[in-house]
Amino acid sequence: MIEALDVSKKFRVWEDRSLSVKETAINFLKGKKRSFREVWALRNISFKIREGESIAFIGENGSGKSTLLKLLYGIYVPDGGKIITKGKISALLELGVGFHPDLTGEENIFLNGSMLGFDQKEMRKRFEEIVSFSEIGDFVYSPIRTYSTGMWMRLGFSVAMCVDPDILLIDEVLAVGDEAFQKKCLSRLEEFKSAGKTIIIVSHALPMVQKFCDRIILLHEGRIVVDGEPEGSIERYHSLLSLGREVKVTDGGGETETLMEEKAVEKRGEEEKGEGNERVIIEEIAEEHPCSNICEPVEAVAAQVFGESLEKAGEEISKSEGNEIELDLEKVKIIEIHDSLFFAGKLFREAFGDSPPAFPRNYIALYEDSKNPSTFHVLGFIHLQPLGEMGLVGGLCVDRQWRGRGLGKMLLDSMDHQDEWIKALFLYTRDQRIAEKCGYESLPHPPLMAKWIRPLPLEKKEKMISIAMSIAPF
Amino acid sequence: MEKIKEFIIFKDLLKNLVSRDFKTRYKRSYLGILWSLLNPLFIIIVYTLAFDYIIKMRVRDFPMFFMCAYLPWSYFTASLSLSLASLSDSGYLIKAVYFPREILPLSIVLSCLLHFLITFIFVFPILMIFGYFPHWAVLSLPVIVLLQSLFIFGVCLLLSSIHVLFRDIRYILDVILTVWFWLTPIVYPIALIPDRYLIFYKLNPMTIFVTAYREVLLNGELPIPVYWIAILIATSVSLLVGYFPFMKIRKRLAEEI
Repeated sequence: MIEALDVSKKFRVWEDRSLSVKETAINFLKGKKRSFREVWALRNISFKIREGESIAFIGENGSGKSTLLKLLYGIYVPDGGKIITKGKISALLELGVGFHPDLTGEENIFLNGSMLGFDQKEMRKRFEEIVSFSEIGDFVYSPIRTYSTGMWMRLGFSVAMCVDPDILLIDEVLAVGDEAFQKKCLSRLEEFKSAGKTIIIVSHALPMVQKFCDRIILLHEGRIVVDGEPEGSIERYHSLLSLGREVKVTDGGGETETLMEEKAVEKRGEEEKGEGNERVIIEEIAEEHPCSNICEPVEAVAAQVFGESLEKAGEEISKSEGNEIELDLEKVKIIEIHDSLFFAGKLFREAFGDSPPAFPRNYIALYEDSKNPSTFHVLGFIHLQPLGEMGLVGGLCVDRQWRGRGLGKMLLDSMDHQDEWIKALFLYTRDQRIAEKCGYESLPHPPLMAKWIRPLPLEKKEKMISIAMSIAPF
Repeated sequence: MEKIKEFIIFKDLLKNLVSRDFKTRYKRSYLGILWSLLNPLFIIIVYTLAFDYIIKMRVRDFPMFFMCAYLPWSYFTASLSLSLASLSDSGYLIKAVYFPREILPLSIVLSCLLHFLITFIFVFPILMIFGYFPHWAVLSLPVIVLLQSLFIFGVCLLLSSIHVLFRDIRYILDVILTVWFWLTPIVYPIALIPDRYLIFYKLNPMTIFVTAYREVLLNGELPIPVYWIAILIATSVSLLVGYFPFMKIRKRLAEEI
């Protein structure tokens, strides 16, 4: 049994790893400490894994899966929250770790086994099994520096597979050996599973994971997005992948706009093709100029507000007994950066189920249609103002903590604000009239959202909202 | 309590690490473990030539006098320099496997202890050749060795923890050990020290240990009670001072390496 309660983990990223003695001395005399940034790898992770469950963590690179595995194993210590484990854990994070090249395979099996916490007696019992599983035969009595890489890996894998833990943690190491060996490993895992052991896998091999696991937890940027049936989680993962990419496009736009236009023109000159092509170009540019982690805090804050307001909305709706009510989202205050957009979604569903009685339909549509990148992005703003079919006016919020980076930096530079929260207004709309009234240039190609993002002075906010509201259909 | 339980689970790891270190230290060398005997013998011969024949230090049976102090000293220095990088060089292990991290420096101290104990194979015969027959006081030797090992373990914990964050400690340690060697009465008797500096000399834990070994092996007497108290204090201080930075760094070890 493994239980994670509100687990968070942060890492220190040292600004300057190696200082000379002189610099260190100077810093010491000046009372300066070495500077570092703190990056949260995981935030408020909670789940419970029962005995006998097979679970996979999936997610993009950097989503925190491996960190989570190491936390469960005890290699890392959480900075917040608690992890409770019952039972003997064995982990396969790296293969053949601690093998010493000068020792024989046999000696290394015992050494490796004891590293996993199994005593000599137990290893002796399993020795034969390990050797036959690894298929290295008599080589087991020669120093392992004489082994091929494959043999080395197979031996490492066999040790971990043949010992008898209650919980097995595996990190992306199933791709060992040839196909036959892989099959053997999988069937071994199946045996584990049917013996009622808990298995936790981190993997990118989705088909395998989908077949093997009872439950999949999808992580995104250090948070749990989905925790449930394999099919649903994987589907969500796919939509997240395509989404993340498009969000990047939108964010990259602000900074690389000119360049993008130039390039687009260039390309257009080369080959006269339709709008579809342009999207590809933008994607290319976005890949060349990744500036978009900044999206995270912006969305996180917004999501919290969104979630809070939804909770309040839920209360009001239940009071109103089916009559339509007006929601004043402006009044909602930022409480604290706490959770993701998906948390908002969860709250949303908890509060209303699939179809809230009198909640403006456009909200639901916006949220649920998360495959639409613009919607996804637009939801990530603080002052949410509905414009119906016409679009949305949003306020962009930058947390101080993030001011050093990408779009956040650009906004701060352009606005020169002392507030804790820096806001910029922007407009997303499909309607040309609204755009023009709000002082934006005309928008040639609706899909090119990237071009529409402009930082806007705060004093224009009221005006813009009022314009937008006057045109809005409700 | 938790800690002790953990240690019991991982006792075989400790055993295996010690035997790994022991087996691999002289692997692929012709004389193998013999070097553990030959090395100190050569050093004893060289120092005897230098300090007995050339400088003419007036000490009875200089080779014996030097040997009884030099062997514990080299146990001390070997442990320190070998365990210094035990945490920082085991990043691959620390990041991939969970076990009590103390095991890494501890296994090196224990492996050095084994090498130290092996030298007693020639220590006793040579002592007898020179006419020093074991006295019943020799029975206290295991206690002294144990306390010295704990003392060394404390220092090793301290140094290996510092080494994770501050690699320069290696070079600083070289200097410190050289100075420390000459400040400890190993090649000269403590009687040569002027009385007013004596107190500073006795603050040096290695002086106490070295003297204790000499008392037991050469004079056939138990160290006086004050020495025992000094040894106990040195050992506990070293363990406390060593564990403190270690506990501080333990949690972040996997990330910092």
